[in-house]
Amino acid sequence: MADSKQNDFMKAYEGCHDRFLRYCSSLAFGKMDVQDLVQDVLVTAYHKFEKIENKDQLLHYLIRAARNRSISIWRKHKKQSELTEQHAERLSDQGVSPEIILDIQLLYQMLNKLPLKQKEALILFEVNGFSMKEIAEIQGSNEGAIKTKISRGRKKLAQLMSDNTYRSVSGLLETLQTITL
Amino acid sequence: MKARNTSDLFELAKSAPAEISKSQVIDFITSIPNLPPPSSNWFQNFNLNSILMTTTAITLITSVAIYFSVQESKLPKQPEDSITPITTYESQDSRQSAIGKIASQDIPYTPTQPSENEDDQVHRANLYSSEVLRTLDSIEDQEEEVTPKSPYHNSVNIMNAGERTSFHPVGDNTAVSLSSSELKKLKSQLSKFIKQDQLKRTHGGLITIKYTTEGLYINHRELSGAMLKRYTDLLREFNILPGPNRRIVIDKKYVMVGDFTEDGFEGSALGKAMEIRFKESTGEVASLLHSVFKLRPGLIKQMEIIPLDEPDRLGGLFTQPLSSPQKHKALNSVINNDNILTDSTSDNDGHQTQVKISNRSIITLNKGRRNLHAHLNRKKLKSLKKDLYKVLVSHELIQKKGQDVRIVEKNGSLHINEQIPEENILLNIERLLMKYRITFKPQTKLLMNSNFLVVGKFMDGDFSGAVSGSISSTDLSKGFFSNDFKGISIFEFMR
Repeated sequence: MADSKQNDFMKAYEGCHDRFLRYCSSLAFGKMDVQDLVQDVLVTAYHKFEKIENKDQLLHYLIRAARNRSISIWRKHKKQSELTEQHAERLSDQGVSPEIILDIQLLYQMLNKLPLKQKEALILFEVNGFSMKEIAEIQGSNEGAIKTKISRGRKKLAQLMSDNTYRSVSGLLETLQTITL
Repeated sequence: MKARNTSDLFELAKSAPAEISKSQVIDFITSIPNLPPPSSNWFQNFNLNSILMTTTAITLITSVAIYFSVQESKLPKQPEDSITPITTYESQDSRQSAIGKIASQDIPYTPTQPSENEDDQVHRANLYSSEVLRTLDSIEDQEEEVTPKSPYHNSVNIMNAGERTSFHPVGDNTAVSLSSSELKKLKSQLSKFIKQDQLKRTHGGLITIKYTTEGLYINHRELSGAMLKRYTDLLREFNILPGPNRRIVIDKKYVMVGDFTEDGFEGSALGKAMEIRFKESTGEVASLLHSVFKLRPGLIKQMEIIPLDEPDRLGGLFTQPLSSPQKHKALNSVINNDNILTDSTSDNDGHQTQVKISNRSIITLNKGRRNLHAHLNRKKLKSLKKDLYKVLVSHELIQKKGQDVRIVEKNGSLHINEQIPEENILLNIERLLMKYRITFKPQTKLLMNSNFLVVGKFMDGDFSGAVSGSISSTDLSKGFFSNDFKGISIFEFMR
């Protein structure tokens, strides 16, 4: 009985892994250990697997559960700087180059500055590749609202990026000035 | 950094492998059945932090409550012997007053204008302003020196603690002095009891309680047995004892507890400043009312409620002398929206006989007959009056608003001040009356002027209809409408 449940769960999970993990990574970045989040969500999902009517919708369930779980974990824990290092290490273990890791981390940092719903919609659309309709289902909203969120999120993110570039350049100039003096 | 463009960054994040490999997750999933299920224990929400926060808040609130309650009980209690009857200082030319509770032996009293025929109290009442002011100054000086401040001292209503001239002691019964919180509590408890006991009969929520040594009357109903005990116990809790003029008046906007005498009110009040005059129905009016409505003697009171243009009452002991009669309409202007004459009894057939002239502006004198104009409340009557005057003036049936208007039906047509208007005008008026669901029959009349509007059936000496405004005794006996009111019992009583 337990084996059949496990097999069913594994079968359903296989198709979700990449998108689920990417979502969890972006959600947990700099705030919590992604492994903790993934484990928490998976344990809950496993025990409630019978109650999930449409097994094809497991990914939607996992994403919603991850979001709720992440919120409660944020409330309990303070920001942990070593988490970013852990993130980098894990990606490095997967064979990702340090430059790409930096870029991904920069993206996640900037995403963290967006409002939660905007951030979520943007991640689900741009990183996880969900359609507007699917995102609307996950967030319990409508397509129009999701479109607006994504559009606003993009604009804000671009602005944050340009500000960050300016700061990096000015920081570099300051460093150069100090060296010259 | 490879890329700065957001879409490039997204592409990188999308193409990058997952932080945790699939095999790791699969391994984990295989171990899930061996793990305990996630706890759904509700008690896990309680942690040290939440316990500390709630207990601290509860402790703080409790200690503050205890601290303040202890402070109140620490107030010096005067021995009963030292509490003297309230002395009211009242100007002969001014209506404001000041009250102080002082030891009688400390008052330096200098009688002026002695009269051999009058007793000591009468002497006091005849003091001239200047002399009393002087006397009062000395009283105040001595009070500061000799007596510790009575707990009642602070409760004197500041608004009335201004002027004083002549004075007369008000009797021996203990005056009611309640703080605002006590008055609020009394109001809520009494309202609750009265609602439970179904003693509330007036429509506007007004409750009148008379508490004398003879008995306790709530909305004119005499209480007895367990019900009486319940109310007397409650009143005793608030140190309210029976007295010859002791009454409690409770309305939505105010509560007044104390003695309502011919001189004014003495006691405690909270909320809107009101003047309430109780007038015993005496003489012919009383006998007529008693004979017609079979009411017990002493039950029917005429009660006039006049809102005062003064700040809201805040509790504490104070005296409120009656305002001058010129300021307000005379008591014999009988039907007034704030003038309540109400009581009801059952006749032998079980029909209700009810006289009610109140804010609802509906009079029903019929035994078991339905009032066809019961739907006309004060607001509707006001609007009807306004609309009617507008139509009548626009069609030049009257010269200006406020003129006397009588609308009656004769020979199947409406007569306005004995004139038959043109057909189109008549149609307009009928349409307006229909709007207010007023249909004219031979006995129906609509009478109005600047002071009142009366609409209803005038039949067999009875009136059944709606009244708004105030009808003066002149209107009843001499004016344009004297013949209309003649012979109608309710209006005859008020003449």
